[in-house]
Amino acid sequence: MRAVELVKAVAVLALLFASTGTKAAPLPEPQVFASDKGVLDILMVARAAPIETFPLFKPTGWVYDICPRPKDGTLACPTKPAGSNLYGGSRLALQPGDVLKVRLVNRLPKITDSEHAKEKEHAYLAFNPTNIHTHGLEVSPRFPTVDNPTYGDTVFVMTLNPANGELPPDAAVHGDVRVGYTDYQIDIPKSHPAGLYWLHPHVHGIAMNQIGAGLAAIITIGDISDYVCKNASCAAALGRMSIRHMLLKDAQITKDSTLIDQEDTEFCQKFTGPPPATPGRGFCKGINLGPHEESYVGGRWYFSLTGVPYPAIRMKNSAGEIWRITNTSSNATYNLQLFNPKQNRDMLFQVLSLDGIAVDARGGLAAAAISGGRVTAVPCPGSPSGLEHKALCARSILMMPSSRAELWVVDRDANDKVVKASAGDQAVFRTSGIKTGPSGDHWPAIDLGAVTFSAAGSAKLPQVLDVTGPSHDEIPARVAADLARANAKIGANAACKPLPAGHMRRIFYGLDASDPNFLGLGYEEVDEQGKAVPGTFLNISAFDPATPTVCVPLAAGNKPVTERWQLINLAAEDHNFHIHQMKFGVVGDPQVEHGSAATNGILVDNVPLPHTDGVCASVAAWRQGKCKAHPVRVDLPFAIAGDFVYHCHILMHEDDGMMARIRVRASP
Amino acid sequence: MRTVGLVLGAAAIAGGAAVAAFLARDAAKPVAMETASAQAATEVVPLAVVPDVPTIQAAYADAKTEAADRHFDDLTIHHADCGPIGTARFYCQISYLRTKDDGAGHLYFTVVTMERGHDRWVLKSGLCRGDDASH
Repeated sequence: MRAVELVKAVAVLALLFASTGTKAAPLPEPQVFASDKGVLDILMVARAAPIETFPLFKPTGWVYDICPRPKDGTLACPTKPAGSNLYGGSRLALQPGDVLKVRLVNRLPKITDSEHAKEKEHAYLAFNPTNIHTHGLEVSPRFPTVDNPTYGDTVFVMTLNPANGELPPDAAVHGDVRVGYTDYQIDIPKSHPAGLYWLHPHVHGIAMNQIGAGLAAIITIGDISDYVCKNASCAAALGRMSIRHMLLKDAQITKDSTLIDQEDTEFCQKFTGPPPATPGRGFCKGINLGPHEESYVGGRWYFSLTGVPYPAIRMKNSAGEIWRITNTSSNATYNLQLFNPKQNRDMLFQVLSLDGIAVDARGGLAAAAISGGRVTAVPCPGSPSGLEHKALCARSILMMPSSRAELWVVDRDANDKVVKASAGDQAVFRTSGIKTGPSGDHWPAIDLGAVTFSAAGSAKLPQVLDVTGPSHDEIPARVAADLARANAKIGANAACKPLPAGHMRRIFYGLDASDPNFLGLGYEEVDEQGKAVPGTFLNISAFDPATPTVCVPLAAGNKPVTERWQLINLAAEDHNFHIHQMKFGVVGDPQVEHGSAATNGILVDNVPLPHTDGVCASVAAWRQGKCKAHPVRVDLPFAIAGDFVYHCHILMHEDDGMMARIRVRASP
Repeated sequence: MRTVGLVLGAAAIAGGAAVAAFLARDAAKPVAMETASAQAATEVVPLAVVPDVPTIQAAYADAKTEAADRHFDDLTIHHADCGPIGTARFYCQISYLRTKDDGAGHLYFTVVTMERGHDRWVLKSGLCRGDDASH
């Protein structure tokens, strides 16, 4: 294994600039751990560490301290040099067919902020157990066996730090319990799509706290050139571009330099209050919420890029840069834009991939809302004949938690054409601020980074980058074939019945019907006439780790089976849908008025679910027409057997119960 | 048990300090595999110095007798690795199998607390149905 260390000088510079606040620090690249000869074998220690990149404050966050796995069994990594920016995150660089081996060690301190740790049966959460989920990877969620006592990508295991105490007798844990460390072995299928993925903890009840405190890493499979610029002229341009990896992270810091892992979405703005007049550079200021509420005055809510608030992004070539962006925030939604102060408008950029899958719409992209409302497509100007229908350009991109996007960012003129930059051409990379519905949250407008374009290089610039991804229809079958052995080992289950032809499953998002202090998911099956199948309705309830809501058998020969699901958000705030172990397509729905439309072949692993018009506190109220919901329909190609989950990836909602277990079994 | 020497030497260690018993293990060494036998569970044998697979299996059987609905009837302890949390209590990382499980050979992991009684080991926590809700 090769470990490419951060360039110390860059880190030191970053610290220097960050601490003085006089000049923007450069945007650092995450530390890279690359596979070698088909294997990446690492020790990953989850522990506390100071965040040294925030001006004025030096809070303690939680980080993944990663190193090649010591051969002597040591459960700690060598001491990192000062300024290593562990909080910013790391990148695991893998190739299709690789094996990712992780020994996860829990050295986290006890958790003090968790709301759910106050629940009697979940008091053990205060011990801060952890685990990992390889988000977006199409890999097996297998459990250990005697022959192979490692874990696949399952969330039904947690690792305790034994220094935090022993598990209480009445702990209602959600799966296996390990003490000290856990070994994972993730087999990446040979046919796995190249792209951008990530890794994060997934312990129900404190996922928000752990990710919010900093625990996240990104994963890349293959290389950009696997799906971008496969023709010679385009490849030459790609070769001149820098490729940046950005982790969108946020952290709320009080005036005494304490990081709040139980995030308060009103930190900078009261729910009913007006938005700040101008975006802050990398942060917004804490406010006093009232005489009987919290006061965050003197604190800051940082929105950083790879751990650095408002870094300088200086391009080195007129061909621009590829930005590989992952929203690793636990709750925050970003509406990313590239503001050009000279033109006083948001610049155009080309979207190369979403959620790790290349945007290759071979049938042509609709010049309308696509991918569940995440991108509003704009024609890419100046593209050669025939290519414009395959390229996706936009001026903004909605990034709900867990979303990824890869963008080509380059200087453009007033007509949006790619041009060689003039001296002083700059832009501001920002999130415009967004409110996620009448009962939703304010996500502040923040200037995330200062972009300087480069005039260097004399070669002719392309107007559009050619994107050639894998055939989306073929991905599930290839993955199922690669994982045939793992799928077969899971075995069949006679109780697991296929969905009748023409039927679909309906998932409700809303308040737990038995306790409105919790959120949850409901379920029913719907026939080809759109009527609920009697006896299938399960009212909205908080996460039950013991009972799968849905059981799906694979098709004969363990071939993939595609199901259509209808996702109905009954809340007056936006949610999003994420399911493990697969990518799915969003399909048009005649009931949808905004927020969702056909993907035209784009596959994603999370999709926004727009809030209702009006208020529905229950499924019954929705049936009575007391609100208007905006259902989203998705086609889910099940190709991987095992037990996993689907949930809202706004993690305060997931921790509140908006998650369900699903079981996929081999064909009978 | 592989950790006997360690735990004997550290028998006086209490509470959180016992974490060393787990973290100080030589993680690189292969884990010894042990499976309980019915014979070991029923024979009268001297009380072990630290809990092991047969004693935990026997303690589980005792607990099942007292509350059958809270325990599985198909559970076999596969491996145990215990460290002291007092003079008579041990905290054990165990793995187990369930013969009626629909998965193929799913090896479960959990932790239990064992206490040395007058003439037998007692399962004080862990392995109750509902504790590990996802199973």
